[in-house]
This record gives sequence, C-alpha cells and structure tokens, in this order.
Amino acid sequence: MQNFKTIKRLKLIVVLLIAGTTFWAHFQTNASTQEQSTRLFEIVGAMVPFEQRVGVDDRPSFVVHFEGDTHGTLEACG
Amino acid sequence: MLVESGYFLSEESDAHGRLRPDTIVKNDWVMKGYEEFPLDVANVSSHDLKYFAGGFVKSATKNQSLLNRLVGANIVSESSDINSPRPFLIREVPSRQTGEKPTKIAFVGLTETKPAAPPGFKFTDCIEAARRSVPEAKKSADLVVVLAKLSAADAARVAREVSGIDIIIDGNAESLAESFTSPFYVGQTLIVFTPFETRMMGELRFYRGAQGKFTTKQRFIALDEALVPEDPVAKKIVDAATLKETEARSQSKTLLEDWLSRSRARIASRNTEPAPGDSAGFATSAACSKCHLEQYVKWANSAHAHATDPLPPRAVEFETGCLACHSTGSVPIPPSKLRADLQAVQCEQCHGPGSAHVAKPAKGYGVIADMRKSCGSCHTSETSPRFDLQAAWQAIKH
Repeated sequence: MQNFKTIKRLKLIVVLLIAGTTFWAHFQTNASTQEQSTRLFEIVGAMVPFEQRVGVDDRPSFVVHFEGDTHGTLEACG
Repeated sequence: MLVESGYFLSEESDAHGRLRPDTIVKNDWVMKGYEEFPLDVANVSSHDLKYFAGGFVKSATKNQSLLNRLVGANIVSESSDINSPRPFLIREVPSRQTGEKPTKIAFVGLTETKPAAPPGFKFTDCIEAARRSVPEAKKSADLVVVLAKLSAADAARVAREVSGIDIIIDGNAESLAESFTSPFYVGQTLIVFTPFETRMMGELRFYRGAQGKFTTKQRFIALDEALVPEDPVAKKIVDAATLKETEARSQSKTLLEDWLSRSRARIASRNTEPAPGDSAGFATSAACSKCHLEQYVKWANSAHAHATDPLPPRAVEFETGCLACHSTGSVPIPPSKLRADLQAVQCEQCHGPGSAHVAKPAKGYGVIADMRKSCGSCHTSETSPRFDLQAAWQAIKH
C-alpha cells in the first residue's frame, strides 16, 4: 500500500515536471522570436496642459523625437 | 535630435502622374520649414522620391543641404548621372550625463516599393538592403536605428530577419483608422510607430545602463492646435507656404484661361496667318477639310479633335508644357512665346505647318517618315501607358 502511494506521487512529480518544462520552453521561444507587446510607453493626450506635455526630466542620456507621414502639410493636425 | 520616418512630402500629381506645379511649391516650402527647424535625418519614402529625384542628379544644386540628411538603403540609382540617397548616416549625440562619451547612432532608411520609382531609380527588397546596410552601419555606431516607411508586418519581418537593429521607427499608417500602433518588440528589436500625420510627436528617451547598454522609454505627445501655442516663426512659414501654393494654383488657371482666350480669338478672327514669332504658319484642320473632307471627318470624330477638353477641368495643374500634346503648334516654352494657339491636336500637329501647302497645294507635304517617333513624342509610357501604336492607327487610319 505504501509502495503504491509512492509510485503515485512519483508519477505526479514526473507529469508536473514535464508540464513545467514544456511551459518554460514555450515561454522562452515566444520571448526570443515572437513579437511581444510592450506597455512601456506613455500617451500624452490632448487634454494635458501644454506645459506638462514636455514631461518630467528623468535625466535620459539623450532624446530622439520622430515624426512622419505629414504628406507635405505644414499645419498642425491633431 | 529630430528624425523623420518618411512620406513628409505631398505626391499630389497631375493626370500623367507628374507632381503638379502647386505640389512642387508646397514641397519647396516644407524644405524651407526644415531649414528653419532642422531635421537631423530623414528617410526618403517611395512617396517622397518623385520630388527629390531631380535633386539627386549629380549636377543639381536645389535642396543640397537636406539631400545630405536623407537616407534610403533600398533606393538605387539606375543611371551614372544620378546619385542614390545614402543607405545610412551616423549622428553623434552628446550625452547629458557628465563624463559619458557621446553616442554614435546609425540611421538606416527603408521604404515600401509602391508607388513605383520615378525614372532613373529603382526600389530593391527592404530585407536584402537591410542585410547589407545594418552590419556596415553597426561597425561604426553604438546603436542602429532603422527609419522606415513600411507596413507593420514588413517592419516586424525586417526585425525578425535582420540582426543588429536596436530600434525601428516606422511610419506604417495609411489612414486615420491606423492612427496609433502600440510599440512592440521582435526579439531584441523595439519597433515604434509614427502616429498618422504626426498627430502625436514621437519621443524616445534613451537611458544608459551600468554596462553601457541602453534602455528606452517611449512617449507620444498630442499636437493639437487648441492647447499648443502658435510658434511665430512656424506660423510665418505656414502662412507664406499657403499663400504661395494658392498663387501657384491661380497662376496655372490664369495661364490656361489666357491661352484659351487667345486661341478662341484666333479662330474667331479666322486668322490663319502665322502667329508672331511663328514663321511656319498653321492653317487649321478646317482649311485642310476643303480638299481632304473624308480625312477631316475621320479626324473630327477622333480623340485628337478633343485633345484640349481635359485641360479646363484640371486648370489648377496646368503648365505650358501641357500644350505640347494638348494643342497644335505649341511648344513648351515661356507663355509669351507660345505659337499657334490652336486648340485640339489638329492635322498639322502631326503633318507639320500647312499654310504654304494650302496656298499652293502640291504633293510632298505632310509625309510622316517615322510614325512610331511622331506618335511617340506625345504617347509616351508615362502619358499613355496602355498606348498600342497599331491599334491606335487602326482607329484613326486616314
């Protein structure tokens, strides 16, 4: 009876190990080769007062601003 | 620093796909704007190349200061007289932190391949171009940033298939429906997207870590007119640009109206004498009809007899060059020197000035030695892409 319980426990451990390894491998593949969305961005919306849009100076080494798709229009479009 | 992901110029074109006169003025003012608010690097997209094409001709002088800031790794010149944009540029950014060395950033340009490249250029595959340029750029830079005008899927493909890219800044949006695409990572490459029409300014903050590795934070700042105060210098440029663009449209309309008015006056006065400066003399198809009625009827029912009709509805894009193929006896020279002022493509546009023949009819006038060359002077691949000489001749055979 004792042996039977031990075998059952061992089986459970093996199943859990396999499931865990599979999940970990799958997660690693996703992380390295597939697109991950990131929430590390901030949208400073139209309701934010102008003075606050520049944001807090958190001492970056440098900043790159980017724009595009203006199609020859010089006027602000927002 | 300020960079541009592409499609920053207008590509509004005339009926034959050439940039309209007012579009050229509009784009000239964008260039003036960038002289006042300098861009560090700009990606030439397939939509911008038409405007810049002339500037890359080796002898050109226009816009040279901005041309030196353009990148386009998959834009290739097909002529020895034309330069290609550089595949990448390296910019050095001083650090704000004391004691830190400046950072060298390589900016590589990539564009989609539609619309087709203007004559003298071709677009190559963006993956192949990136595979060639990125390792080269990486040799002399701390960071490699790709400026792209590609779909989000293609930008992700570039990130997946080309190693060594730190960031892709991509202008993926084609309409307001795609006005904002969230940034995402493909492996180690961060892809950020320029909001449609720059309705928000993109900002990438770079922080140097302990091992010299950079992390970034991305911000997108709304640029609405309600709360962002007007910059007086920018306003001056925008106002002047709007005025000059309106003037260009108005000038095109006036040029056409003047020409139509002169041509109507010429027909009304039944003046078949040579126009001032025109020694050859055009007699008009009406004069031809007196002896060649059958041919005249064939012509009168052809599209040639209505070749001027498409001009008035598109008056804002008119330039004197249009008359070379939409009138008779006109040449693309300054308006004061326009010659016959005859509407439509009349008999003499192909057969030559006929006043002398009308005065003294004789054999030998009007023979067209090389029909392919004669028809091809107007029916080019640009103006008549589906033109078939044999089929066209069957339609007007006379």
